[in-house]
Amino acid sequence: MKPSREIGAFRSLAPCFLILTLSATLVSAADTSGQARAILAKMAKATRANNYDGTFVSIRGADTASMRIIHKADSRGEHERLIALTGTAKEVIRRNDEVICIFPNERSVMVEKTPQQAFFGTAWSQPIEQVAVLYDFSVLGGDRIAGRPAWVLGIQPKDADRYSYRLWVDTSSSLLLKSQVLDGGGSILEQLLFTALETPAVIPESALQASISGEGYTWYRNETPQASGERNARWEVGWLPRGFAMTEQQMHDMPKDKKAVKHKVFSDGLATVSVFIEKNKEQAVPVQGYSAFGALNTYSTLADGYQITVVGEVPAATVRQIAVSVSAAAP
Amino acid sequence: MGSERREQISALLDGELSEREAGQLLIEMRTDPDLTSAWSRYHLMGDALCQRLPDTACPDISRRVSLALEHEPACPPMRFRLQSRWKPAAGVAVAAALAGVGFFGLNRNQLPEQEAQPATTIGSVEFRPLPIATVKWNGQPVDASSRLSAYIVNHQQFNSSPQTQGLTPYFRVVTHETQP
Repeated sequence: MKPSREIGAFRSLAPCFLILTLSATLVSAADTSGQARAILAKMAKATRANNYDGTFVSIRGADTASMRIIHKADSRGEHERLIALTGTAKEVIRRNDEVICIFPNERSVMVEKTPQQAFFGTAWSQPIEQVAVLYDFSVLGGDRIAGRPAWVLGIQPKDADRYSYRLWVDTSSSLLLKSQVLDGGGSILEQLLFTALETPAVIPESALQASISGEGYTWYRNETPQASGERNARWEVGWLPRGFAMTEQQMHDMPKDKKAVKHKVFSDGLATVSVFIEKNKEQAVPVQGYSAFGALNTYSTLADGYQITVVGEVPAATVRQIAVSVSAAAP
Repeated sequence: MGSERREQISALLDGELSEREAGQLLIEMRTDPDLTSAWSRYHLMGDALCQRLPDTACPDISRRVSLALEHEPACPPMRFRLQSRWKPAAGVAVAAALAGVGFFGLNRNQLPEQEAQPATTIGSVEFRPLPIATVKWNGQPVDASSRLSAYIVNHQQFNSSPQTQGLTPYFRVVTHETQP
């Protein structure tokens, strides 16, 4: 083939060419979809099953924060320590489902049992094959983060009801090195970036000990509240984006007056949306309208004297549409 | 792959093939790695000519990923959790405190004296603000922010986003407490 023929092939951008380019892009994405999903599944597993010690930066809008994470996995399960490197020197120690949080400024320690599924279950809650019906997965290329070679993965939704993601995954350890949440216009809403990451074979217990003893601190232990009456009321969520299904429902009982807040959790396998339903007190000012924090959007409204709030990592229009569809079901 | 095939790919890119010819070529490309590779290469050339390449172009990405994955054991798919029973909430107080947005689930008189600030009761939720941070919710009054913050803390426990697949979900509530 003559070189001039190849060059000439790209000179024009006829509509037909554009269509073919588009289909080529789709073919290309399909080529790496399975590979991207396999890398993500390995990442979710490595996060829980590997030893690592790293420093990362979290960026949301103008907010920047830095933390160190030390994670150890052995026959006894997971042991993890998070240390805030900016702002208050908070620490979180987690041993499987027990979480200890230390606030040096307040000289207080809080201990709590967290349901195991809050950690293990947060890994791909649906088989990735099901999620791929809603999102296009692709390997976008290679990069280097924290001095480590990384795959760059793209997760693009097939509709406007959810956000897209870019993930940088270590080619050797399969650990997450960087992530971005993007809106439909391609603007970055949230970012995580590891600046250093080690994967030691052995992590000494001393590295997982809190830096303070807690002596002289006030200790709190959260007790599981008892639920009460309101739970039997039936509420219906009339609209959800395609592919969303309920994964949890809870009652949060508040200590003062034992009023309950219903909490329903819906997920499409990646994005999560919570619906909170709470009886609005007559003297209370209801929350209404939109709010946003990084990739997180909320929309609140009132229905039949109840405060309805939807919270999720989905676009503002999506949380609103869900919120206004909530209604009391006919008895 | 002969030059005739390359000519065809080039013609396909240029929109010069008939629908039948294009269809036939696309079908062949699915099974012929050489054709697919040429197709990708030509596109890369096209992108380069049009200056559309990213900084980290990786033309043989597909092959490299395949090689990397070849020797890896397959990961079993995680099961989809579907629970319809109500169950008591846990993890609320710690997470709320981590978020620096106030916490509930505590008796008021358990609080240290130096934290003795007026508790805020909104609706059915009592908040005891810690003197550290407040998440600022756009356009919402302080009381509403407290309630939203409590919701958000509960929500985070179930976050299944790709970010939290790669890092414990606690990072989201720990890292942000910037308003003194």
